Amino acid sequence: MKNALCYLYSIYGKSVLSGQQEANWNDNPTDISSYAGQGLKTPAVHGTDFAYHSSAGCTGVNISTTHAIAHWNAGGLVMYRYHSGMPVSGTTCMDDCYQGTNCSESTPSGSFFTNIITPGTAENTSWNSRLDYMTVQFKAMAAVNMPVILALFHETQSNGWFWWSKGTGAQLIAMWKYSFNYLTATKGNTNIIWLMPFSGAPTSAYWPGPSMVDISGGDTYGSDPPFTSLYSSCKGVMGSTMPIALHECGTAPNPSTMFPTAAPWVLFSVWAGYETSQWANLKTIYADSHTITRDEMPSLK
Amino acid sequence: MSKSATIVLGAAGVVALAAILFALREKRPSPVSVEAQDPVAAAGPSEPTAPTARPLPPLPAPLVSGPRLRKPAELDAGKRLDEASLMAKLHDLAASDPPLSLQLAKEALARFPDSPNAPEFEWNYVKALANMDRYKEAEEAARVMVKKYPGNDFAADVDRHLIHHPPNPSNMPSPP
Repeated sequence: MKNALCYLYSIYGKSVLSGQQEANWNDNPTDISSYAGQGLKTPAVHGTDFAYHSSAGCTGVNISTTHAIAHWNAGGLVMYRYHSGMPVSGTTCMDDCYQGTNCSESTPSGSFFTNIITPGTAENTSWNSRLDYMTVQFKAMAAVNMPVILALFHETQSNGWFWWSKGTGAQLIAMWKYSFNYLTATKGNTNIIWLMPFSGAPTSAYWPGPSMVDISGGDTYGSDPPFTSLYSSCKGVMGSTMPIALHECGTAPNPSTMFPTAAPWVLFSVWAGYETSQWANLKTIYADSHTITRDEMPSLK
Repeated sequence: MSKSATIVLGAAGVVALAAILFALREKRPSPVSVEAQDPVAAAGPSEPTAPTARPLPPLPAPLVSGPRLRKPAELDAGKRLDEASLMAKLHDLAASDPPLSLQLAKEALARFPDSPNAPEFEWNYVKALANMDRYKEAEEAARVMVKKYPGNDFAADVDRHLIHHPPNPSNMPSPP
């Protein structure tokens, strides 16, 4: 983990890691493999999701983890997010869903945000079961000395789309701290690079602080790359030393407009499917000397 | 005081009290919704289900004296705010009170349909529906918005989360 984190810090401000999210909800996602068909090298960062666990259940190593390990073994980095279902009484990772009752987009009510971090409550038990499920995957990746960039609670913003963003900043920070402590101190995971994933307008009200964050950043589907305004907003919250990632985007930014100071993102990750409408843009970006592809990464093992 | 004088004074008091009560009754606002008060607001984004304006709280009993009559709080929120204040109120509410957000967004759209802020007001309208788990209505409203504002970031946002979004895992039931 240390090698990967040091590497991210070493390239920050000088280069950008290329990235692509896999549509891991498909049986055979082709987002990353399709780059070769366009004459492009493989992206450095493989984006994936803890939801969509196929038939492995909550205690088995799922197919997304297997794909992630393959990318790591080929020299790349992996970034996870988690479209977790809303952790209510009796639910586990097997109940994860995007939209519907108690899904990612659901809206908590009552004392949910207090309960989720209060041991012994049904919500806390349910959330712990998700963290335990994630731990199964982290351990499988740790077994091959693999670090994982974790963008937990992605698209954090006031009135965000997912349940974790529908409370206050203080409630989000409390969940972050709880999850950080549970996954590290309680479960002993040591291969997590913690990425605090903002969306919209980053604000310090939702910022857990550098003691529990390794890198941070924002996401946007705007059409004005390199998204200088978003980068500046992120920098205003996170400071000038922590690497800032464009952890999710529609249009990839061209490095020729990013460096040295406009918006020197440490990585970008194109959301699944959005690569197909911008191959010409990606060809320009991948030809730029600032862009790092998987084959250009040093060994981080 | 003589008995007849007492009767005359008493009758005069009753008449005066009746006059005060009548005058107050005339000034009292009637309990109507925001849409009913504002015909423009009534023409807001189509909403296939029941009207979203909350019934206003009952008016207090007529007072002979004491504090002047106040408008209901929700009317204050909806009617008196200028455009910037409406937007600020929606930001403040965030996801805490989706029915009120829906009402305010709807009113803002009716009052300021050509404002540069209209896409954001409409985003709040769609988002409030989603926050109430009314996904089908939210998706329908999102489709309208995407057509109305092609290339707009707020429209792209509802597109990504309500129309072209990752599916539920296959082991889950479809959204309601």
